[in-house]
Amino acid sequence: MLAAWGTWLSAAQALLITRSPLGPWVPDLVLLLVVATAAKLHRRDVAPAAFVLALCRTATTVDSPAAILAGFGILSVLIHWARRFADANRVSVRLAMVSSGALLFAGWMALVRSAELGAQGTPTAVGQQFLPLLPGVLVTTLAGAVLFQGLTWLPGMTPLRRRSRLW
Amino acid sequence: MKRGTARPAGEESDSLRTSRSRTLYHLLLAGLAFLALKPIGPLVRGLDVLLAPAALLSHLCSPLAWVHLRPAQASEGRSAEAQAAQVALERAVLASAQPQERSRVDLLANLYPLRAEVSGRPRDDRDRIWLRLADQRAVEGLQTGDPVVSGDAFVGTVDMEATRLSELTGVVVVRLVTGSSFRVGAEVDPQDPSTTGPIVGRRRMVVGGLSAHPDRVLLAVHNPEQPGGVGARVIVHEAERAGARTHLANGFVLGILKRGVPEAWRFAGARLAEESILGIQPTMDLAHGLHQVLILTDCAQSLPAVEGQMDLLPVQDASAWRPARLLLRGEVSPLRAGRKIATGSYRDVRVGAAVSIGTHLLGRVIRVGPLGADLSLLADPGLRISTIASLGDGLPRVTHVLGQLTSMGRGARGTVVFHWPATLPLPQPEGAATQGSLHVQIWTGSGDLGLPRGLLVGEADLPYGPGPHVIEVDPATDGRSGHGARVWVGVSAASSGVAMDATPGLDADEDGGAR
Repeated sequence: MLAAWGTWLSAAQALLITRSPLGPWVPDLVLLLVVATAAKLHRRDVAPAAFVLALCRTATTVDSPAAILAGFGILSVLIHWARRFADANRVSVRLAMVSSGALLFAGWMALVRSAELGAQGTPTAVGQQFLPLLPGVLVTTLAGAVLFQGLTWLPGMTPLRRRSRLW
Repeated sequence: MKRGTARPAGEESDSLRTSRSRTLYHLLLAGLAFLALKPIGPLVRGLDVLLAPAALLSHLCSPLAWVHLRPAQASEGRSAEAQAAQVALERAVLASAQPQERSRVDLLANLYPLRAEVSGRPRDDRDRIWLRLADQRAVEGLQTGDPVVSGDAFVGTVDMEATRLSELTGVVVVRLVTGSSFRVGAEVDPQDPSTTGPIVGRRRMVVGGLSAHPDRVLLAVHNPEQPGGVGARVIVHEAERAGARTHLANGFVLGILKRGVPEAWRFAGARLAEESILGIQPTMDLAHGLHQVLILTDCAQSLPAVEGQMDLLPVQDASAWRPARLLLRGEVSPLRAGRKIATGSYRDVRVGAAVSIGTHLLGRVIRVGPLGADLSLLADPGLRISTIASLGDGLPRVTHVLGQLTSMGRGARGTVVFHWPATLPLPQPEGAATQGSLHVQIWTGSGDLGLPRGLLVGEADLPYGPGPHVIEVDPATDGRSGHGARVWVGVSAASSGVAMDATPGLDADEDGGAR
């Protein structure tokens, strides 16, 4: 079910970004799921969940699959590690995880894209690639406050409804 | 547990296993991050194969595939008008290989030129090109040193040793005049009115390779017989030698003799004029502007006509295309403009292949797995296409080589912004405003592996004068219909006697802007 929901949410996000007037002002729902799984699941399930969600993302984008796998994987490791120092059941902590995760992932994808274009002979600054992603980071942070709990109530997402524990 | 008490052996080995697996996972993530920043061809291809099952996830998007803002137009890009425009463009493109000046037209009358199309060039040697002859059987009659010309310009010579050693079938390897070891005899054109030849006498020289000018592309001049002649046209002047036919190109143009002063010296003293660099400014864009050429020979080859060979444009050959279903008409990254298609390497799709809707170019394949591929649309920054412009109203009459356009992303009002180096600027008609522009249709050209000539890219207003320029192109298709998309796999052996093999090692770094 995680793969199905991840793919559909990513596809809906793609259509909203490309077809609607919202443009880049669309929350990254798959990233929210990555943060949710990293914040709530048992340690042994975090890596497989991140991997599945990365596959869902690669199914709806032409970005480098290696970049997405690395980005989601490293993000989930960092979020899971942060659980040692903060209670992920608190709204403020979840909000901080979502905002920092969105910012880090956007920075990472901007760096990768800048490297790709540089290798093709059309160099571009990382900042130039990062700026268009900032609206998405902002909206994802706001959506994290509203939709985080809602995502855990999607059908088939029962493990995400448990309280986060340090395991 | 009390201090000093040993842990049970099972618990300790579990802990070690967990720690080891975690370390391996972190190393794997680091490796993926490195691969993302510094792609290594075989590893990237291996990852695409490993992630092939993920292509099935793209099919989960099918219920959303009906979401689009306008209904599909079944005749999009396939109308009789569009196909007639392609045929007319083809005639103009083929005519562009013929010289325009009377003297060279007369030269050709006594020769047997073979028509050929530039199909690409090696990734590791930019001073060579691959040609496909209109009749592949004529390859056997070629010799090393046979001159290759395009219009009035001399381009290079055939290299039959490299042709025989090439892994590609059906291509002829040509050494360009820009090669560092290439040499051809030349002289200042005595017929050029700007030369002082009648007074000073002949000015012969050897030309080949590139000069050391840091700011401009100039062909290097070696051993000039006399000083002077700057501003005059330089033509090929080779002596006749046994076993070589390069002298057949005598009279074809190499370029204009220039004395180039690097930009950094512009405000330096006049004595530096003595240190300026002598070179020849080519009249062709040798890097990206070679499309149709002629190989000059002096003996006719009586080849029987192929039975059943149709007069069919390669781009209109249905067997050269595979249907490509667009899985989702959207892209989740705001930085990209791409699509996923449901046709992969199992259907002969290769990186760099063109995807079109009828006669309209939609984009190029940038990544291929066994079950699917990633498509980069025209608006995807970094996409590169080899192009020509058709000038004039109605059907194309005259073509102008634009060279390689590089996408810079979406513009306003649904247009796509491209970087145009304008190595060959648009000729400005007399009386036209200095800052004027010309409305043209832009079509794909030759010389780009996987990109057939004759696909409509869009329309644009091209500025006159030397470049580079940034132009806004109104694309021929926005990809919103998605129906009838197809991907180019090459002309089949059954239709034309040519096998369009994929280049070994062709990957996302190949010229052509894939990825």
